[in-house]
Amino acid sequence: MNLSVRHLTLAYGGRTVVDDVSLEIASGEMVAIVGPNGSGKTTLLRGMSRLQRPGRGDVLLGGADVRSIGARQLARTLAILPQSPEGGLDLTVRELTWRGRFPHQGILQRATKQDYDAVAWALEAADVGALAERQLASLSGGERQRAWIALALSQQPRLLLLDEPTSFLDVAHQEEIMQILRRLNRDGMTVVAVLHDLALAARYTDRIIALREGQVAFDGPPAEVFQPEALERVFGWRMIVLRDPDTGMPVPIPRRATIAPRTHDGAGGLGLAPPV
Amino acid sequence: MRNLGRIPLIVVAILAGGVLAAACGSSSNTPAPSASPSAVNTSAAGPATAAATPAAYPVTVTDLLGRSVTIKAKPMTIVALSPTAVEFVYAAGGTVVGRTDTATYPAAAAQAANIGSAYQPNMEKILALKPDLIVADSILDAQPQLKSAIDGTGITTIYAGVDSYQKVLDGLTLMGKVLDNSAATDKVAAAVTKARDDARAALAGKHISALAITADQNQVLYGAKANSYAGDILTQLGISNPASSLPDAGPFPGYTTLAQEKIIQFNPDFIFTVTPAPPPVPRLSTTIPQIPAFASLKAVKDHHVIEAPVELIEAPGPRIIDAFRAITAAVLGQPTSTTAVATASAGN
Amino acid sequence: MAAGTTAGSRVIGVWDGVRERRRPLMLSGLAVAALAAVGLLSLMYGAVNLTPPDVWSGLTSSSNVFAHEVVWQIRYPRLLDGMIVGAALAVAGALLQGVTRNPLADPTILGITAASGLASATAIVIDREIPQWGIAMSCAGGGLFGAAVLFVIAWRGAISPVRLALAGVALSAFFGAAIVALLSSSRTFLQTSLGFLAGGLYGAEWSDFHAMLPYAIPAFAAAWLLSGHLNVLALGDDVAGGLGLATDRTRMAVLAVAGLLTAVAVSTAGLVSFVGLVCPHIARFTVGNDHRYLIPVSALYGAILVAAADLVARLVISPAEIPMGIVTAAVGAPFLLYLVKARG
Repeated sequence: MNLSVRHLTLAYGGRTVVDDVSLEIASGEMVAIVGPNGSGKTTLLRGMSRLQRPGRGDVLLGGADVRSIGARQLARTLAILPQSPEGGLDLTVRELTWRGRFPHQGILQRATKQDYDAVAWALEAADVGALAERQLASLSGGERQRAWIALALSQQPRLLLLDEPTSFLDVAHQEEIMQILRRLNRDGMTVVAVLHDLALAARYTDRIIALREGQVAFDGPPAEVFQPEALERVFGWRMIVLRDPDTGMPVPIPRRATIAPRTHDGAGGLGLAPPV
Repeated sequence: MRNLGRIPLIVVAILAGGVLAAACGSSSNTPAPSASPSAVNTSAAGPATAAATPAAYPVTVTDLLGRSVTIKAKPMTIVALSPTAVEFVYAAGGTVVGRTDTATYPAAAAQAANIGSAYQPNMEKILALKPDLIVADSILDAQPQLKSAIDGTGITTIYAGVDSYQKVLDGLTLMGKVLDNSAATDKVAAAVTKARDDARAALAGKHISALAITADQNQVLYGAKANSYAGDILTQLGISNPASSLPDAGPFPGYTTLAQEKIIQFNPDFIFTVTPAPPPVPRLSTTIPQIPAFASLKAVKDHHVIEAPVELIEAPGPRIIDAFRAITAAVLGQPTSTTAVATASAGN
Repeated sequence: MAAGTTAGSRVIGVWDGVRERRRPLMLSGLAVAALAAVGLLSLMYGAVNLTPPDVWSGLTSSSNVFAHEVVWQIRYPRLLDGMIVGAALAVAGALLQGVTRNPLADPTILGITAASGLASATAIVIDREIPQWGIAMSCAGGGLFGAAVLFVIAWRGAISPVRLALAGVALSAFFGAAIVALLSSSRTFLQTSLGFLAGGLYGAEWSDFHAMLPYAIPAFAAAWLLSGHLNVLALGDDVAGGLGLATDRTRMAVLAVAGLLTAVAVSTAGLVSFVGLVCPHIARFTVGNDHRYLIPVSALYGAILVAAADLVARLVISPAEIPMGIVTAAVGAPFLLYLVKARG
């Protein structure tokens, strides 16, 4: 089930946020989308999943235009987990996961064996089996994120899109989430995740797509694309790229800024300047 | 479900049996229209004494809503749904077993069972009294839902709502026929007519103008027009009523909303007020003179703002006699006696 | 738990996904018993009290003429009407709370009750003799109109629950003012406006029942069929969209159904308030947030509340009655205060 983005342009609030982007994501890939704030990452993800209508261009899933696939049918193939999902829900993990069966349910909403099995699998795959009867509100951030992943998994999708699944989580929980995603990918799930942590992206994904101002800045395996010049171009900060001793993957680190004496610089900043 | 409808038929069957048994001696001088040619009196025990009396039942009457209703036998158990209805029944020499909560005149009616308010009578209570006649008021005409509930009981119902002097007379005639006591009601009707004529004569040549004013809970003033009960009383007395020239306005039928400027423009000789709310709410006759804009009115300066007893207006009926007398006395400056007239209208 | 096999699938027990098995079943069972009890008391007590055997003979035969007349013509249709009114309002409240994601939503607060009421009052003023089915039809039109106006005002590219709630408050005020203006200038409602404005079942009979059914049955069915949609909508518009829900079309459908249910209630009982607010919360306490159970259980609690309120309304100053809506407000207002306090 390939995902094909062709000349996609998306606008938000009158501003073009994604500008003529074309990509191919093959079945079984694990892709990270990175970029500075406002570069269009979230919008691109939403455009891929039909949550956002394209101004121009199209998105094809398995060769078919996503606009021609019914919403429910799309939801049976592609699951998206938005950033900061709704809080304050009075549900248990199991109840939440069951709701992911919506795209599969008929008009009488009767629970079938397939539903039951899918929910059981989703709870295990997201590693929340032991928390199934717990209230969402009583979980930690990492546990709650896994519960939402279970919801997405219970749709039994072939593609999983996630928008910043690890933001706001501490390091241990970040690792847990990425481990789960990696495992799913190994089992055949196509995973596309918007990530803000470059090192995390390098360690866990096979391909990194960087966006800057709505356009693709670079696209390839981490070892290739994480070069200091390219990173500086995209992120506007000088980076140095170290090497992870365990995995050999690149670890980009921002260079130290020099604290210049308070000058009258037109930008009205803190007087910090990246090292020349 | 309409099993109650069978009862009158059974009664008629028994009566018909008695009629056939006494067919030989009865006369057929019936003043009232009657469906069966032979005479019958109400007691099922036998009409042997009916030799001289004309056949009164069954009688078909036209009630005050224009409906044609057949009374099959003399009603013995009557429920009245408004003060007017109660007074009509007693004027015709009858009694009620059930009446609405405000219908406590005459005193005998107060003893009857309370069946709720005139606007929301309790149907269960009515049924429990097992009446053979319901006397309703035309208030109910304004609420078809209520009308259908009452009609749905299958009990003979006549509507006797009054909004004019002529309707009082018509209502008395109607009740006389219904209760086979036209003698009593004719007497009351004669008294009503006489009171009207006397009052009219006393006021002849005086060329008085008057407004009859009431108010709602927001202190908005309404003036009675000629097509209201109070307005018709004024018309009958030859008193000119400037409010009649105004269009109907506001929620009360036959009344128009009176702006202060209009009252000042009309500047009537007399203002008769009716305060619907009970004490301790101040009477309109006290509050109207206190309104600064009205200080220049003739009626205020001459102390001709006079409170009319509210029951005379809210219970139109035989006590119109009191209304005529009270207004006449007020205009002529005589001490008013507004105690209820006990004699002619009690009909006993 | 398993209830039979069909080819390729097995129907799982009804309580899967609900946190605790015993509480919902027990409380729902108690509720059904309460409804039966209130129903029996409603048939027994009134201006004249009947014994249960009298009630039974009144319902089944016409031998005891008085009991039959009172039970079959007066009390029983009024009880049925009240139950439908209560159930309709409670389900409408559950739907509106779901579609606005706001626990303080109900048909009155969102102006749908007032829209129906305005249509009903206008119809009666135009034609005093209008039959009950005509009133029901006007109310349905008013309810749908109110729901449509709500949707249009709150829509700006997409519906936001906050805008929906605000639009509702404005509409409620607007339609409410229109009703008062109509009532105070029309003689038709002169003495009964309180019963209409506060909500009451005086005079409710079989014609009301027959007039409500053609709207109530499809509306209740549609409400239940939308329960899966509401479950998903509760997760947030983005997640819902990702699950394949057409959020705006769903909101439109839910608002329309809520409008119809409210209209059903208003056509018989006038502007009853608080039932739609209170009952879904009690139901949520009993069976949780899954709308497949929340909707029927809300209906149950709504029926109980209105039947009980009407019983009190009929007895407290017998033979006169107070409007039933005053009792529901007396119960509902403190509950609302409690809700506000408990949720902070």
